[in-house]
Amino acid sequence: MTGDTGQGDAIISATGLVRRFGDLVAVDGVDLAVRRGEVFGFLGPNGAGKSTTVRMLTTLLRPSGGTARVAGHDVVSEAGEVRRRIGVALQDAAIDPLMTGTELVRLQAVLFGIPNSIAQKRGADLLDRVGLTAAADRRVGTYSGGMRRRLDLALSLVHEPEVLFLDEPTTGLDPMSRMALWEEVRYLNRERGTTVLLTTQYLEEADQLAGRIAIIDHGRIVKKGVPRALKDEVGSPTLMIEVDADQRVAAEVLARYGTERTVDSGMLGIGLEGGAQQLTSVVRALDDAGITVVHMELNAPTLDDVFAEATGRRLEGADETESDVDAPPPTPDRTEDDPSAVTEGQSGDEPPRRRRRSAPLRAS
Amino acid sequence: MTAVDDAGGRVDLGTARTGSMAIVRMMVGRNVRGIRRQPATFIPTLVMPIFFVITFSGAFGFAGRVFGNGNALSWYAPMAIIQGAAFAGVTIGFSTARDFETGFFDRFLLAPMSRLTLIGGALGAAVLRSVFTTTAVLVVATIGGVAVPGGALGVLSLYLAALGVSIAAALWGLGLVYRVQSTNVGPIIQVGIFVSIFLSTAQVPIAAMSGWLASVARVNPMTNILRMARAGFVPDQIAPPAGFGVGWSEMWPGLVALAGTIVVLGLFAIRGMRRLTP
Repeated sequence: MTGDTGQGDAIISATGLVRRFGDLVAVDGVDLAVRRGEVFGFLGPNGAGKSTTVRMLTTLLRPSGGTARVAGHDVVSEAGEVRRRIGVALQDAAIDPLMTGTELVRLQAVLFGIPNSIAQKRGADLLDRVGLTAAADRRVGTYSGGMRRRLDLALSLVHEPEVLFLDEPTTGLDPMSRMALWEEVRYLNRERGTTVLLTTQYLEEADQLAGRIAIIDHGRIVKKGVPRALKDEVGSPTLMIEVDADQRVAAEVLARYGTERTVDSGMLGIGLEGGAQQLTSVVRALDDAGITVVHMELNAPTLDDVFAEATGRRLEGADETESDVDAPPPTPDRTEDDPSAVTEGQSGDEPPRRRRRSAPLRAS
Repeated sequence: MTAVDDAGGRVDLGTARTGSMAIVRMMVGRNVRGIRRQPATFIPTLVMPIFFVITFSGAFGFAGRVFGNGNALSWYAPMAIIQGAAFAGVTIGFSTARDFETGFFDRFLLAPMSRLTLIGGALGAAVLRSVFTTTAVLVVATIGGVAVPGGALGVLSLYLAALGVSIAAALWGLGLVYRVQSTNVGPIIQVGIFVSIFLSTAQVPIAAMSGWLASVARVNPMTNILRMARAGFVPDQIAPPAGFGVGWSEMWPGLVALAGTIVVLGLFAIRGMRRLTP
């Protein structure tokens, strides 16, 4: 693994973190070290164990094994001290629809013991920063999804935390709201030095925001490092081809130019070892074999390639009905042995499976 | 961790202690706002006890002599008030369950405060709701002609019993909700309350009961709580004082029953809360 950091300078550190729900292992020995002042991306598909890990790091869930420290304090034995120093915006904006934005800011300030004089000014500033001043006195039930997320972010900042946990902060948001939230995260990190750990299933989000990332799959971290370095590890660009002939014949031709890569079903993929210069040769060889190319694209390595290299399947557009440890808990995973928190058929202790995605996704 | 206050001074938030009373006030305030903004969640807890007073006293009015003073309303009004207080308590359990389901409860769990404060805030809201319902039912009963020969002390013992029951019911509801974290637990909460009320002297005095029901009612703490609630309304069925009035003999068993119930259910709720987070 690349880009690992020692635990010494880490503001968030986890060693062998495990969380079991009955027989199911949702998080299976996660080691993590996040440096002070960085944006760290925790990337993985639904059910990988991202949210469960975050719930343990934010003291909402007791680990079954291992240790973790946040801002210098143990998440179990010094949970109160950890809570004082962290801000958390969870997957589902935890907001009472009957309250107004202003009331929620006030509530958050009271919960963190912030004097009223400070809370009022800071609350107004935060609501202004996230563009909710005009809606501050409206009931949150009337807010859009993006407004709720922005309010949730503002609430998590009321006590000026050292570390900010954002659990899938942009899931379900429109592109504009997503970019506005990214900008806010950048601002917090750059201008205020806030350490941010963000979980996401969006590759672009991790690429845009995170200085370092960890890829988690089936409860285990399978890759860690700086996004660029991880992409460089993948090496050659991915050539994806759709043909109107027998794929086996086409695959034999392609095998001459590189090793097979996991791509969307219906497509063939190789790591094109000679790069773009080889494209003409590939097309010519396919033509010589009597194969017509319907669609072709050459992509520089992406985090999706990194994910595919590590797990044998694609993350982008992955089937969201897959196992779902992280799903927002109707019966949440807080109690010690609640197996209902993990969807049937998913087990964190399974080794990563190498398989192609079953849902067809046409690349363009 | 520091912040700049209005005067430009630095406030150390790392050492700022969360004020428990402020949190309790805030939680009670949120509950009151919830009643105002969504009255549908409160109205049934107010209407049901009034409905019980009217229907029970109407249905059993013919059997007035059974109740000691010939007035069924005096017997059933305190029972309905206790029931209303219990509803007020369990409603807090329901609203907490909704907070779990929406994720809002995480906001409380993520705050650096004593977990007992969270329970305290919920109990504060339960007490406030039960004061509303107790007063409303008492007013309706008074309009209906109920007399309080026990005077102010009788009314006080009724309120004391009602507030205690609302606390006990809230603790029962919270204890279950902290474990199940879902509104699915609602029926279990209600069954517990109904069983405890109707297997007591809620409907008729022990003297009018027979068989297993009388045996259960004798040991059910609710019997003594109801006895205390009725002290100012009907002559005591177990140890009638020399003259009519609220006697210590009617009060202390009720107080002990309330204290015991609250301690047991308090431990149940606290243990449930402790299971939630480190």
